[in-house]
Amino acid sequence: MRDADPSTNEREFLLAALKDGARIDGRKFYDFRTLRLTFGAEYGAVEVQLGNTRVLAKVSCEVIRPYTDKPTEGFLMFNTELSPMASAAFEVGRQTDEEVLVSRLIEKAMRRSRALDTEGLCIVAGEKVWSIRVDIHFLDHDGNLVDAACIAAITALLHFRRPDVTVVGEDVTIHTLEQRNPVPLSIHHIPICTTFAFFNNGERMIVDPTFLEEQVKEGDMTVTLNVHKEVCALSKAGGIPMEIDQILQCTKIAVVKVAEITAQIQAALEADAKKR
Amino acid sequence: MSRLDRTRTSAHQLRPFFSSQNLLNRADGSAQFDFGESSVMCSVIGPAEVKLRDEKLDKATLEVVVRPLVGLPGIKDKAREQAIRETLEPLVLSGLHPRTGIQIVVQTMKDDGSILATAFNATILALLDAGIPLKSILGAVTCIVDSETNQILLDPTTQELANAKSTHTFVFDNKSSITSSPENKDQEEAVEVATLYSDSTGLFSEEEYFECAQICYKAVQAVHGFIRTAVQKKLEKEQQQIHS
Amino acid sequence: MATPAFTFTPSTFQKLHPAEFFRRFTTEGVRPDGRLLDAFRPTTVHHGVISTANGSAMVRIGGTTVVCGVKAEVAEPKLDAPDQGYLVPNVELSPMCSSKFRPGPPSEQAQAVSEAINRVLKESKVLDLKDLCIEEGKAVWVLYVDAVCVAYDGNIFDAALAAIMAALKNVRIRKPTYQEGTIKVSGGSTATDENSFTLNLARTPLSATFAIFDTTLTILADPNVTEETISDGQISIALDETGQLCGVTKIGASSCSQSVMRDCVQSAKKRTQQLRDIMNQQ
Repeated sequence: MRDADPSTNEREFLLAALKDGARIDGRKFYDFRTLRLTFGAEYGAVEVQLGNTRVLAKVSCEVIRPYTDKPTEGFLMFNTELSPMASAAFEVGRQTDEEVLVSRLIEKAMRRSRALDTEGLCIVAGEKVWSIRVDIHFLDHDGNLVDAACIAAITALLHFRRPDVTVVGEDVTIHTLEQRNPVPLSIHHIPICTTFAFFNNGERMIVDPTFLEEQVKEGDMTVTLNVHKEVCALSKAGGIPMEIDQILQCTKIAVVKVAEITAQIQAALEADAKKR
Repeated sequence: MSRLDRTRTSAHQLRPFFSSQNLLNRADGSAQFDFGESSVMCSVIGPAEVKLRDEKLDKATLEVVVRPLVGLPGIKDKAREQAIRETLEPLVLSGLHPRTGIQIVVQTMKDDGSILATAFNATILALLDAGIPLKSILGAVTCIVDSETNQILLDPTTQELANAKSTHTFVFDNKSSITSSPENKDQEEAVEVATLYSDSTGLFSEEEYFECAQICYKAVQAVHGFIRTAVQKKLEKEQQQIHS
Repeated sequence: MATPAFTFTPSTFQKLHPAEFFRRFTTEGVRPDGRLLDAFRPTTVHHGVISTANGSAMVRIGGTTVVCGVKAEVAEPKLDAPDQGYLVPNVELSPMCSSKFRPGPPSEQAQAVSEAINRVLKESKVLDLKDLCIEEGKAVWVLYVDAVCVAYDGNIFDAALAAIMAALKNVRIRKPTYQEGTIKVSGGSTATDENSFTLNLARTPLSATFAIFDTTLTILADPNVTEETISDGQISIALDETGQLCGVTKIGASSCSQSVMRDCVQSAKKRTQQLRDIMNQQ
């Protein structure tokens, strides 16, 4: 089922409001929606709510044989299959353009930026390595799936604990959760995506668009940064051309946002750790 | 008589229920149902547009999509899709919405055993939330026969399932049960249970199977009651919101 | 009294009102193909039909024919079970057997049947997987069990399970020798009891499937494809040779009472015994 285009009234009202300096849900232009993080009872399960957008991320691990040309590297895999639960527009078995974009952005932001140390996943070189799998389930689509998925993925990876392993020569013992406390993954940095949507012939930039704003936008851009002000990924795929100054301004705004969100994630992880 | 699941003392005790309805904004109906630490969320969209090749002239077409918590969907999920769809076909009054489609998506949120039963319960709550007309509601519960003690344990956790000699999932609707009058005064009034869906695997005897059915039937009454209360509470809250 | 305006030949009536056409038969206690309601179709089992496979069998139940081949390969064991081999069963329903199956990825029905058979094999502990170990942690046997339907006329579950069990009984694997990291399998001369081994099956589950026809609340044994299309649900019962149940499934249709299930179990006991006799004869 294709999504119905927004009505003329909705479109005109949203654009007029933006011209006048307001967003439909009352936010300021550079405000994220309320971010809520809920951890599951198990390590590595986190549900993210960004306004009405809901995403669930689950991390699991398995011991497998590494590639012969990379004997000391573990694996990090993301699964971002969109199900019809998030939106009737997503069909089973057929990838929409949006789905392809979301999965590629996650790959770029998380894997290519080397947020997770894959060398640290090695158990016995050439024989056994950890394969970490992150399953991202989209439950409700109200815009900005990329940012929500990214926050969910990195928080889940930070929350996850893998079983402890001892290697004595050739013998590998994987300790159960009862025998030894599980061990966190070694995460170098925390990449956070910030998505911007452009309106009014490129004059107006807003952060964290809702679904309606996404349908009416002229263009968009996603900047992935970490707290150390390093750009992990920048994606502006098509849409209205923007000036370089505007792009730079977006990154400056993103720096502030990323700092806020990272602080919130770390606070939530600490609060959860105290509970256990 | 201690179970592997230390939170429960009795073999015939179910884990605490939890449910929540109308959670999602995009779906017409949604619900989450928990059996203890097993949690499944279900969304329902319909009656809505259906692909021409799936269109039925006199009925609504039911489509079920089951998504596991970890990994890509496999044959186990496909088998669950078939089970849920075939069980719901006689319950949904699909004749009222011909040439439309009702799409049901089942997502496992937390897995601690008895996922199929949890999924069935979440699905019926989501259908109620979406306002799809139904002939009756259903309730599902799983039980196992423990390999060491030969006891019948209700609503097993993942740990308990690993020790099972046989696993049984039953689904009952809230309409059919035939009470047969006792032949002599000594016999109790036997309730002849009528199953909507039954799936048993492992090694078990005929007596064990029918005993499991009886025990699960009694347990499902609690599930039916819970579903009724949950929907009642939701409607009361909605009424309050309208009038306040 | 005037004759009715429309008269139909039986085949036209069947096309226009399939359920009603069927009901006319079942109320008399028979089915359009002449069988009684509880009769199973003639069944044959042939062993060793594929000479290049480690084990094979072909089962015909009425018009449904399933050929099953078992291939044994050496592989690394799974890390959490280093002394166990594994079975990979698969049931294939392709356009070859019936036009109702489309080419492409396996249909939901094929996947559901594969999963059902997989669970029977695994949870009824048909084979001790430790028997398939060659060298712990290094090499084990993997048995690829492929059941291909070559003609589809309903009741794929019974035919596929019977074919798989007959093929597993037929399996003969050359004994390997493990030397310094390589597996050597003696080839050449015919397999004898000395240079090969057969599988030690703990039990042989076989099944009986029934269709549920809601309109008249009738249970039909061994549905053919037309009966399957118009029926509302199915009951499958799997038993082993000692009479223990290995699987009970009731799916679709409205609620079935326990007495109906009991009757099905009794009928299944007789049928599986009959199937076993057929399998052991040939």
